[in-house]
Amino acid sequence: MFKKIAVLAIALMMLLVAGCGNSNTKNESGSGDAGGKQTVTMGFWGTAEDLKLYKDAAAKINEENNDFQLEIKQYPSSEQFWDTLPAEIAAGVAPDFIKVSNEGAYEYISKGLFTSLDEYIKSQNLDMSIFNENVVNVWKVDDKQYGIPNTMNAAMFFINEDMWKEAGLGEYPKTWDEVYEAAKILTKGEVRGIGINLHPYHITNYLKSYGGGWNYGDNIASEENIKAMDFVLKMYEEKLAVTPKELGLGWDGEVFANEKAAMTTGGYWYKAFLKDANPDLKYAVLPIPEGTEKGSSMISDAYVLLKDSKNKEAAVQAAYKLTSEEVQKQFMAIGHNPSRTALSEQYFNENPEFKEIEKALDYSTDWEYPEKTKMFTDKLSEELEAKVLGGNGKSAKDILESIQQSIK
Amino acid sequence: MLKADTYAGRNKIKKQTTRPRFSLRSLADSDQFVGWVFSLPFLILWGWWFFYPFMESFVRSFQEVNFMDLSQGKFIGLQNYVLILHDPQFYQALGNSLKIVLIAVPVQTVLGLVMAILVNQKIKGKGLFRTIFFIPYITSQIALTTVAMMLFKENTFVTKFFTAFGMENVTWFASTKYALLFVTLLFIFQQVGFTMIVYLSALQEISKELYEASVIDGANAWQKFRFITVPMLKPVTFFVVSVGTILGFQIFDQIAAISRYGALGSPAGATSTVITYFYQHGIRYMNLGYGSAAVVIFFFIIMLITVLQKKLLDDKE
Amino acid sequence: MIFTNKVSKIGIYTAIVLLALVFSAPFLYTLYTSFIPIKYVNTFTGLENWTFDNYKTFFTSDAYSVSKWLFNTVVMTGIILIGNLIINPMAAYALAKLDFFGKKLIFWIVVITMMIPYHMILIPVYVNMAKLGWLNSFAALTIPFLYQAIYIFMLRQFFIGVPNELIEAARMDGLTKMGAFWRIVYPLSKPVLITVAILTFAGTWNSYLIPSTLANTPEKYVLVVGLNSVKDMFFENTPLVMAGVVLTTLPILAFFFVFQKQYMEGISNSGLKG
Repeated sequence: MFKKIAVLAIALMMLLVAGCGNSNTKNESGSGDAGGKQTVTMGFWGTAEDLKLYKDAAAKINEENNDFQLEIKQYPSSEQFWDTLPAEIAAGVAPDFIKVSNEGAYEYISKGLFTSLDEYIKSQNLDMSIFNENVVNVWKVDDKQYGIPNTMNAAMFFINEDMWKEAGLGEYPKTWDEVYEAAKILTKGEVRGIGINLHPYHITNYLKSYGGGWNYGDNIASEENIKAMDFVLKMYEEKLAVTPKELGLGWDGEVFANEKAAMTTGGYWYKAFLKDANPDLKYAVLPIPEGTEKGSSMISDAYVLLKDSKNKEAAVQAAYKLTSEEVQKQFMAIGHNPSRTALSEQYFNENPEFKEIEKALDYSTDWEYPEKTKMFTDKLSEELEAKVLGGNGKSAKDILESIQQSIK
Repeated sequence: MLKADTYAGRNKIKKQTTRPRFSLRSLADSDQFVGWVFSLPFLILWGWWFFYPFMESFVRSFQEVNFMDLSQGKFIGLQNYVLILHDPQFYQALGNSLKIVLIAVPVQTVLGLVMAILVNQKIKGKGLFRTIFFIPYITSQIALTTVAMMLFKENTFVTKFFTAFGMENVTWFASTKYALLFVTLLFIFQQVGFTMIVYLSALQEISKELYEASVIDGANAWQKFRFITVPMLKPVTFFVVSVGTILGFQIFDQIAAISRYGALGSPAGATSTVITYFYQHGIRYMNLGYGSAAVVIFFFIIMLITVLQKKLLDDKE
Repeated sequence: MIFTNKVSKIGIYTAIVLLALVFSAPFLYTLYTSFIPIKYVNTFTGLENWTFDNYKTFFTSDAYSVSKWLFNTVVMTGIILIGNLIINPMAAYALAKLDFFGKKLIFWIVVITMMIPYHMILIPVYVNMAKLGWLNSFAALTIPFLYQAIYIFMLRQFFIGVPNELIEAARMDGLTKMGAFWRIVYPLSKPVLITVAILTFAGTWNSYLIPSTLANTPEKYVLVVGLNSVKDMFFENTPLVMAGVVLTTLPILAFFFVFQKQYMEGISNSGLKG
């Protein structure tokens, strides 16, 4: 037995050494000078389709320029990326630039992890006016540009058309009050009027439509926010609303696809999901209803530059090239709304069910989560779960105040 | 038990005559030398890839660390420790961890032993049964939890079945009352396979003659179990219990799975444990100093428990 | 052995079959879900709607290199397995049967190491790996894990039970203390070594956090990490994930099924049994 193991051990140790050797040579060729070019690395997490799209784009970009070599690094998941990023930075192996969503980017901007692009936009004369003006603003903090936007969309409100018609309801709602009245009629048996996922994405849209918001952590318990939160809690108290967790489902899209709620707040990913999960479901898409005013959040992916990047000029150049018309068209083909104004129009023509949303793009704003974003989002979920699932007697004001307290 | 007393007598006589001089052979026969040579591979790897990084964490627990530059930690004394020990969420997490361990460890130890004895019988298809009992241990816990979540929703037959025992018909992992129990059950379900195979291999070491001799002495099945099996398994039981405790404190995947799309320890912190507490603060919130201090506190707690268990269970040494 | 009469035999079978039902249910449900299209998730549907598409996706889509992931996993698991079957028993034996300076300290090192979850020190480990240029190599995936304190502890508990007479007898036959271990005790410990092998195999094969941190380029993905990167465009495709789980679990099941037979042989067949 021992001899067999020893033989195997030697064989495997050799493999190990071979493995190390391989990876070393690979690293060298990666970071070294591929024909005198600097290497810049773009990090992202996403699907295999995204990876293919990026690899093809990078190959083309590398062919067309002599300044840098663009490499693509895929992470298995976003949690994976964020959890190893501190270590990657400490070890000096983080990518030069990454694709991130604006839902969470502020924490890293305020911690100084991402760096402003203004200097490079100026030196390279990059035309930012090709992008939707509002989405360019979403990526500004203190008047400094932090991201080159790739995609954008506004939050949406979904209605199950068949349920709506069956209930004999007329026009689709424009305000939360109308939603409330409709929810009372739509709540029947196992179906609740509305799905409200106790997740910051959804809650934020309620706040914005009441003229409130997180305001980067300032005055969270504002009057507008209390009003919005009161509405959310009222829907739960009167058993008109349901959160996915109660039903044992993962997220709001599943609730809607399983026809357990007649209405829900959601986003553009519903389209692809519903096509697979419930192809027969007919649905209408509206902007987020009004509380006291028009308001919703804008979700956008952009390329941001890491402060530790050694090739900042080249990285910004590469990032800008990745928002070319050609690349963005490919993103459109897999269901994203491109940040380029001209292409965005085309997107809404090709996705007529989202037509109503186009207008919402003009007034949708950034999430404006507090600086300690992850702590904040965790706390928000915890407080709302304790209230809705745990039945503690806190009021909307109590909840918002204890969130304010925790992020000090 | 291994038996070789045929040689024992010869052994005593010869020992006197072969006092070796210094040689390779005598080195290979010396407790000091062999002890160190055998421990060395472990010690090298441990020092390199455990002790050193752990000491880095330990030092960091007295610092406020900006993850942008780990070498530039600011020394702040015991402040991290003070903050943790004043955080009510830490005590909630600690309480949950203790509950998991106190329920899971006795159950999985007894159940694991029973199952090991069952599959050690002369029965048909025992290889198949062993494999089936081992499945939960080797399946990805995230996947297993996902499946269990499909079964423990409101109005499923499983949830309805448990209403017979006074439970409410609600989604277990969405209930602040039942979520911790749900996680504990899943942990037992996973861990019992481990306990079973450890006991199973220990059962192979118990000499058949011991049982045969006891039959001659008129022992019944229960007496054989009580006076042979249980005492012979004592060192292994110490292992199973202390490992169960340690792993019970480290339970993570199940909680991560039910907390997806929300805060770890969902709902509302009902399943937060010392490990999720560390993970949130040290990794998610990137507060490495604070997280490291949580590790150190965590370490002392388990250390205390293990020393107690050793006193109670392991009288061999 | 313990139970002999017919009544208890029936009792045993009833108990074992009931337990088997409970223990196989989640896996069967996983298996079921891996064969259905996503729109039937959470419901029961007849055989006519079953499909192999979820599995096909893994093997036909050129986006996934399942064979490469499998290769990486096999190499990683193989190296760690062998390390653990050599380093752990050696240290355990020293702690159980040899009397040397520092033994108590080393025992406590083992116990303490066991108590600390590895991901608590993963960040410093990562940084040190990066300094050595080891990231995304098999060295990173294996070298720190060639031993496991928990198995040293477990083996020590077993070796304590090995009678000293056996070792003395081996020395009388001309073996040194070192030789007695390799030639007598090690081969005789087959059941417990197989246990360690099975547990190490399962633990390594299934590990996600460590390989996904230390080797996160697609070229070095192991099976679990690779399968985890397989997601649909905007959401998780449960049946696809479940197919991945089945694909990952089957090799461990096979490994276990083959090696658990060794228990039946055990020491009683080793010839040295009195």
